[in-house]
Amino acid sequence: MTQIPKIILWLAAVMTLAVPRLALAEGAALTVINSVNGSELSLTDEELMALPQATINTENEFVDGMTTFVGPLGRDVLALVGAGGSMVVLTAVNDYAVEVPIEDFVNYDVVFAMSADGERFSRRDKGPIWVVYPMSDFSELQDPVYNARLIWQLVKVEIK
Amino acid sequence: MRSKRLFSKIMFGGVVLVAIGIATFGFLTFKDNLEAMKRASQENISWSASQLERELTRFLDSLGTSRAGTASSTVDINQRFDVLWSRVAVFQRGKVGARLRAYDRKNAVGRLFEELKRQELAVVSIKSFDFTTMANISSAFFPFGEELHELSRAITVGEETKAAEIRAQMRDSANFALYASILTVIMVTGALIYFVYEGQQYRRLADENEALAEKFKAASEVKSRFLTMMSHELRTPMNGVLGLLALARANEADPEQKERLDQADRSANRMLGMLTDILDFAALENAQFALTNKPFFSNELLLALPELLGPVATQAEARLHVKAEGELPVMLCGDATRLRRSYALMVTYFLETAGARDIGLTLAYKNGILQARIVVDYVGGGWSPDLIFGERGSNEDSFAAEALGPSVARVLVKKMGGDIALGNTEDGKILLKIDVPVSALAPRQLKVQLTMQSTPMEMVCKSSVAGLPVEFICADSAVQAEVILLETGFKDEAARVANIRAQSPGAQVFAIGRPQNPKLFDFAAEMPLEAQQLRNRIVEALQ
Repeated sequence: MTQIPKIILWLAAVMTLAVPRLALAEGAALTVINSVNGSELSLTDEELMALPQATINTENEFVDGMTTFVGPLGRDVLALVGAGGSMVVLTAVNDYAVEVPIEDFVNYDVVFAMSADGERFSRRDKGPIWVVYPMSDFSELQDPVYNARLIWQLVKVEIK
Repeated sequence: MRSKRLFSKIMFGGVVLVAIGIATFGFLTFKDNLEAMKRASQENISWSASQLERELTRFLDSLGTSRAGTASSTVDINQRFDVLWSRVAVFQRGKVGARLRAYDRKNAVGRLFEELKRQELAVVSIKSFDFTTMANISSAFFPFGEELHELSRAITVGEETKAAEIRAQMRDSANFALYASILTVIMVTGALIYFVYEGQQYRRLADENEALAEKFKAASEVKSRFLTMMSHELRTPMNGVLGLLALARANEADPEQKERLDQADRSANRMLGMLTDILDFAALENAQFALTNKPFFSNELLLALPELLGPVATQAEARLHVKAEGELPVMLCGDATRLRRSYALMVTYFLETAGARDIGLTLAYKNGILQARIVVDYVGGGWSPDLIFGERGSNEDSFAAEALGPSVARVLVKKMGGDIALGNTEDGKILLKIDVPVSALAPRQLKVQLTMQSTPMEMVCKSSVAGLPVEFICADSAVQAEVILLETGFKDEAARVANIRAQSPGAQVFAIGRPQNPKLFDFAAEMPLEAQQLRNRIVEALQ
């Protein structure tokens, strides 16, 4: 498990306590909600990039060949709003949403990718966040079920 | 049986070929199925197409809503523009993009992208309540709505068709696999049943053959026993006839009567010879027949042959020459009796049947082979030497009688590991070659020490080994004895033997007489009753 820097945890805790029902702040890139314990958190691009960054090399059906994705691990982001729940609802900027079992984030290094091959995602190209699974490393992930979970332009994560 | 075996081979080959064919076809089908499953596992691109159409609609809606002066803002317009852009970008990358593009024959998405780029500046710099720009942008994108709808529908239909094809292919493959499996099971079962049946047939045939062989063997043994018994039974009265003929010839003064008696004597002798051949032939077929491999003097063999064959040659009024070519080894090791018999049978055959005038038998020894060369000068006529190989002549009765001797000789030579070949000399005489492998023994004198209590017993022992290369030495001789003959009958036998063995450690000690403890000796012979056994042991020691 990647260690989350204490400063980030402290920041998250302060924000969680100070603003329990924080609305999407100005410039926020991602809203993380834990409906089980009622905590909610808005993270800017900078805050997301301040989290430990994971790198995965993988192919999928939306890119040309092997691509290097970089971003925080999904489970690290979820940890910011505490444990609990069994499902995670991922919502895109166009309100498209998909339900993902929380085990996916435990069993695989699911990355909230913010760049591909060193290039930051723009909103015109799956940005700012694309949920990427390490499909090349696990053959069971090479299935339409997981293709549907490769949600891009992610703006909200909610634990249920 | 042969055609049945051929059928089995063809059937086996056919089953193997069909099985290989089914396996190959199954493998290719499996590969196709795998490919089909991969395709079936691909991202559903209908969704991506419909999303593009939907995002275009939402972008146009955002422009329309703003123009209507409701809550929508320029931020919302830009956001919708970006999302639409990202949906177009999906068409440009990856396997999904390639599959989507394959349906876009009119390049609607490509043109839409070009339009996005053209309108980008207008969109990012749009102001609130700038309804003219909004209307312009809207009218620029509006025509793509219908095209994207058509594309979306084409993709949906195309993907459904492909999915149906994949399902049909997989269904066909499953059916084929089922039929192929059933066919294979039927074929293998059929082949197994056939091979089991055939195996039973072969086993039954083998059992029958074994029974036939046993029957034949038993019949052959009965025949051999019969021949042996009959030839014995016939030889006894024939010897009587010969004896009486000899007496009659001795007392007969009348030349005419004497000539008739001589003729009767020759006939009787020939019949006796034939009976002997029959006896030998029967003995050869007996399972207990065994060759001996003992040392013998080449000179003894050379001298025995004229002695044996001389009377026959005289009777046939032919000349017989027996000689050695080159120097023969003094001692040879083999079956001297069977060698002598083989040569005698062949020479007798030539004398009695070929009308031979002159027969030469030459013995030579070369490279471990005792080579006998029989050169026959014969009168000629209708006689053929091929009969010695059992070739059937025109007169079968004659063949049976004449070829018996050579048959016995041929089998004897074969059993000794030899070979017989027939040919001609340069001057047209018959040349029969008989080559038999015989080992030569190095000539040496066996040192024998006699320790006897009486001179007569010493004489008896010496005479029993007469002719053998034996040198008798005294007890006090400086030469070490190889065999010590010790006459028994003294009290301290054990101590005496121990003393002898201590003095001559390498020597064999033979007891002459009846020893108190035979285990003390290497051999014991009661003389003169067992003189032959003693001679045999001395010959063995010579080896």
